[in-house]
Amino acid sequence: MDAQSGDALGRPVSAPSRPAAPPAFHRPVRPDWWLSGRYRSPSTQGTRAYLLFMLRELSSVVVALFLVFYLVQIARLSSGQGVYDAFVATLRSPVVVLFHLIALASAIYHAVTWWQLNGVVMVVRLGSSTVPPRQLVLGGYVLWAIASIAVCLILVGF
Amino acid sequence: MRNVRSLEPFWWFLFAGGGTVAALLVTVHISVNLLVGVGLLGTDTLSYGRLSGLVANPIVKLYLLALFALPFFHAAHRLRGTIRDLGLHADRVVGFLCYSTAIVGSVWALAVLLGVP
Repeated sequence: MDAQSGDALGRPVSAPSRPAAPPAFHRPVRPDWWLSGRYRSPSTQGTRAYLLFMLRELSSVVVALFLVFYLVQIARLSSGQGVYDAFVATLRSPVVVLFHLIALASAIYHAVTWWQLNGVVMVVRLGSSTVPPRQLVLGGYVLWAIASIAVCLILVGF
Repeated sequence: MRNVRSLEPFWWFLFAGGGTVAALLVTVHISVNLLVGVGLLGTDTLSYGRLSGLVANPIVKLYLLALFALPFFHAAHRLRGTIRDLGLHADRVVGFLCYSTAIVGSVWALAVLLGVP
């Protein structure tokens, strides 16, 4: 006799179910869209901006690969002097030098884009005034220089 | 598998910290290695005695842990976004794999640093 559990003929009814959410629609894009001119817009520098964007994103992966190499270098310290010295000797090999050149270019590109980005995304207030974006960007470069000199002095020696 | 998106602010914080660490500190470490590699600095610059002495310092260990771990998470976050931008819509799985790799790398760094006497 429960009015909630059956229809007029006494058949059980289920609560009206919400329609399942349709799968999200993604406009199909070619995986090489960042090389093509189809996405050119007046607000960007054309296709080059997308290529540079992709290089910026991938620079972080190259930096991580260098850090893996560097971690192996430091791990060799616990294997004794002979093993460590042999690893440091491989720094002289052309392939390793090339790897470091690519890593350095990536790290510099990452740093420059990161400091430039700070001027766009960060708002720093000092009292009632806002620090101008140009000074934030400059501050990043100054910090970069100070940190580099400090680490260099400690690592290479005074 | 935990939905990685529910931790978005956490990943973003690590991404931002890692980007700053990578921008501040990585170029100088690459440069010193490179200068030794091309012979402008002697291999004694990175000598076993000097380096193990430096890494034995707990503050240096902490510094190196940040130098390794944070940029790992930064790269994981950017790689996750790049894979999505390339048109692969499997964000949960890709995010899980990217951040897991960063966690493994960070634990490895911790183990290495604790292993150097």
